Amino acid sequence: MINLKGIKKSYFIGERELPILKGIDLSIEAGELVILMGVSGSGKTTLMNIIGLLDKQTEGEYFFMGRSVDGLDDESLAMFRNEHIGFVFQQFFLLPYLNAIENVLIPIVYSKKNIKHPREKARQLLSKFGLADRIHNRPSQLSGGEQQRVAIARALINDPDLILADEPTGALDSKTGNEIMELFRMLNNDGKTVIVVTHDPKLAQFGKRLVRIEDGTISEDITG
Amino acid sequence: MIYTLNFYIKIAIQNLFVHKARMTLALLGILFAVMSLVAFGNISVGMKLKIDSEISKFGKNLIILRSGLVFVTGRGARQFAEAKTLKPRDIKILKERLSEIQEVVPFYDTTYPARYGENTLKVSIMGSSANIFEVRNIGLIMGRPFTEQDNTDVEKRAVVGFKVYDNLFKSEDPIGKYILIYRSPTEIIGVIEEKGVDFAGQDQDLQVYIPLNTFMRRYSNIDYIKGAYLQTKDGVNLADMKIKVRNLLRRIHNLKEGQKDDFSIFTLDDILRTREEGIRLVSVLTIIASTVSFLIGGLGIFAIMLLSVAERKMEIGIRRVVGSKKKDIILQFLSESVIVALIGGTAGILAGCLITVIVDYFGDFPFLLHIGNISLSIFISILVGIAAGIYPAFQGTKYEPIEVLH
Repeated sequence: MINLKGIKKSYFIGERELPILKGIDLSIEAGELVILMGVSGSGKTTLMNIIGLLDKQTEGEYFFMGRSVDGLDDESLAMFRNEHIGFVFQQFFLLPYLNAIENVLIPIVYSKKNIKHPREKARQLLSKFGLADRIHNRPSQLSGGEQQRVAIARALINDPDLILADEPTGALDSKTGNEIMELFRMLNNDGKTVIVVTHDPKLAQFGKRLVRIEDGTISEDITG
Repeated sequence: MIYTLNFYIKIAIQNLFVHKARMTLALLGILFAVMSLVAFGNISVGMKLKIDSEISKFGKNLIILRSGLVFVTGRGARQFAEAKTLKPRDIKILKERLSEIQEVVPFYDTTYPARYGENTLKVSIMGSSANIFEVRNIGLIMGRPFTEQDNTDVEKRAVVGFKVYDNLFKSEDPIGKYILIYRSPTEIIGVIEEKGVDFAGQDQDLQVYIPLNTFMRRYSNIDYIKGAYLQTKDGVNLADMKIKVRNLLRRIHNLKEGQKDDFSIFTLDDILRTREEGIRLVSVLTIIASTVSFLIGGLGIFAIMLLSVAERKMEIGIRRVVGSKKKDIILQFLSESVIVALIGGTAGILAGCLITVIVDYFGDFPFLLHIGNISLSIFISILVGIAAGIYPAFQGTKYEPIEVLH
């Protein structure tokens, strides 16, 4: 599903080149649950941005679902993200003036997928995540765990092929964090491909595969 | 697309509620601009209709001849210098020599107290020939008008305005009763329907009409008149006719070249035109005022939208992440600024109509809506919304998701 070949990424500060990713080769198949682990500054976030089509590599090739995405313009990338990838962030990023179900429905506004009865689907997703009686609450009326569940429902509304979660437990206590991770495991069991990016070693146990990033390269890749 | 626009509108309105005070300030400029445009438009059409109806009430095809120097303003005619040179004979000659003239109504008007029993009322005395009722469209609700026979016989008979009857007689039947004018008992033979104030500010209901000859010989003993109404036949050009009347009257009065007229000639059109000039001046001021207000309103919305875009970086970021394109971001913020402008515009239309209702009530104008100005206001509001929103909307596309979300 995801095929990265010799991915390098550098930032330039004036004339000086600052390499972040120094040649990443990584393949992830459909149905995997991958924990992408690395300390802050290791390049894991940059790698996630590239996988999520939010950033472009300086060198190397990226195939998403067998198709090269390197030459795509902003508009095509936006559509690609909308159709294929659901994002979950540490800070949830829910819109404060919309209630839970309206937040879940945001990707539908930009979708060309023709999801049938999106409102009903959003309601089902929220119910499945135990938020049936929270549908009309604003983010400020929800706990952190509840907000993250709404964000996950938002990531799922458009039937993506891949769930990409960036430190999804970072703003939660460990009990709630574990619940969220269990949720990802459940989604993976239902057939979704999930990548969780984290610095937290305790999350390793939830994955089927652990990819460790250190100083811009993959230092460890364990399946099992 | 419909769903998308619907969503933007919903978001815009929800955002308005989040920042009520701020948004209210932003749309005040638009509100005032539209309010003045709409109020002015509505009031001017109401005024125009009233002027038109007053003119038709006053009588058609009329040239007004007045002795002495009279200055015509939008509020009617003001006497500047008096003259005693205009005689009834002059009017007779005008009628004989100018075939375009159909009727002439020589008159003498003045104010004087009228008395009935204990009650006294300051009234406008109008001494004229009997055809005034026809030429000036004066209808009666009681009794009869005086006749040319009454005029010839110098009868002390009067037809009184509605307020004269109402104030002096209350519910008593006035016909056949005598009121005192110039200390002379004068028989009331008719009462005029309620007419209100005419275009010149003269209260028509305080008029007392008496035969001209009676006035000149039995009340005041004079041989000159104050003026005359000249009614032309249909289709005669009043402006040309004014020149003919003037030339002839100068000859009758033996005025040499270089000598000033000792009379004034004008038409209701002259009065209407000066009043329209007044309206035009106000309309220029209104346009300036609302242009300035629209500019201020546009700047207000511009500032608020810039602030709003900057505050909603995260929102822009997350939208971009889940698939919004740059043009979607532009469309979203543009629809927000247009909605703000339109809310201001709608409030302005309502406020303008409210002002219209108040002014129409006190000015006694009919309530009319100037649809042109109302639709223009909506149109300009949308334009201002777009103009004020376009730069902030483009600013919004400059936030890249990875910069604002990490």
